[in-house]
Amino acid sequence: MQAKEMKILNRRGIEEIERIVERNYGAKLNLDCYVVLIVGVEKKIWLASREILKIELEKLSINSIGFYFGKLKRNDKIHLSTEGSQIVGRFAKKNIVELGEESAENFMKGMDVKNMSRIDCEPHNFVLVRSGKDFLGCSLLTENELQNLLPKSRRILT
Amino acid sequence: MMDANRYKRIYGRGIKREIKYWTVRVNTLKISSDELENRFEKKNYEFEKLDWVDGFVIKTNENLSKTIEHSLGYFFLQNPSSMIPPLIINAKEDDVILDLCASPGAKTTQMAVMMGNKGVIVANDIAYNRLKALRGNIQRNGISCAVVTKMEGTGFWKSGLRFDKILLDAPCTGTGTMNPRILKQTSMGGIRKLSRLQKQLLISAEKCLNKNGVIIYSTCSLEPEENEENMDFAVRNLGLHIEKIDMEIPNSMKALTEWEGSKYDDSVANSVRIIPDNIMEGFFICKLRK
Repeated sequence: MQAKEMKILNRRGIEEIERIVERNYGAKLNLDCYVVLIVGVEKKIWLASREILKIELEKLSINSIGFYFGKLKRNDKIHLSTEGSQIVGRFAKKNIVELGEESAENFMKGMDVKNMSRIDCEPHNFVLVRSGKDFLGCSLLTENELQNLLPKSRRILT
Repeated sequence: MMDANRYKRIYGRGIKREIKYWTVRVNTLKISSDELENRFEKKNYEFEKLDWVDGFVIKTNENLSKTIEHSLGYFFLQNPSSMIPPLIINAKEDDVILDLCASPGAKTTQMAVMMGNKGVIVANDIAYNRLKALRGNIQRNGISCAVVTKMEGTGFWKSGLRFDKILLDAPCTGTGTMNPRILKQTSMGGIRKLSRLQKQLLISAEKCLNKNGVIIYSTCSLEPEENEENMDFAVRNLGLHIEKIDMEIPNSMKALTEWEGSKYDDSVANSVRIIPDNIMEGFFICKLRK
């Protein structure tokens, strides 16, 4: 994250993110407790605690602020990070796939998955991946399978 | 190669460490201790709960860094000794804390958990690889109150920012881990070089500290040159005061006041050495006030 590429969203910008999240996952989020940052041309969204505004950020050589929430995509879609999926998942009503234990293990290894139950899913959209109480991340659902978009750093490689 | 007799003189007895256990700290921002305990029970791990922190000592052949719970950020693999400095700094909601040498972020994330993800932690480091590890751990643990900075620790004071609480977990030889490779590679020359860097970091930390503020200095080194000698330097040259640590620390002893002909300030004895064993790493912790 380069500080010069980073923009702090105002209330209107935040409402737009909340609207996109609700449209895609049926989750009513209130991001008021966060500073919402949008970074770079890729439109990556980062969330940070509001208290970070207490310090003079311009005096620091900043590498990152808070955590990565997700990336805005074309057609008002949003690809969430694992942490983003855990925050949104608690309130989500649609675009969720549920995996059994074996499929969840395969998903965490970085494999595409076919065996799943779908909860109000639109094909060719990003879906939240759930196994029991755990939200494992967010990946792309096609007609037949869940394409694994779990970042390498979060995969369980044996 | 470090000589076992040197450690016998420091601790008054022989020390040994055999790593047989995993130790984890629960990330209560994501899961409760009870819930994680249930998961460990279901996996048939042999474990014990730590009674002074949300953590577990686990005996299993499974690699815990390759479990779903670890990937999802439900726990942090962290030695119990390293969980103590954040408890001593007593991180609270609304604190603004500088973590001067933060990577890989075990203590940064622990402080953020104690703060309920409120307040601010400026988590600083300098090397690219170390920052990558720090950012990865902040992400996995869902820490929103950390600002990661890439600045020279010895020159951080030039930013002009001042803090009431500073954690200086200084880069060190790591002999407290008692890893045979580290013990073999460590030389007196290396210890001296790190000791000089640690003093420079102390100078920088003192300049960043508000009046009446606190620095918690820690290392996972057994070497007096990286520990007591530097605390003596902080008292005599930087005007800092060493305070007694108000916490019962397991497996600990008072710091040394003399080493190889050098006599340290009496207050250095208020610092604490954690004696290495099969669970705890050797550690040194000191609470300095301006």
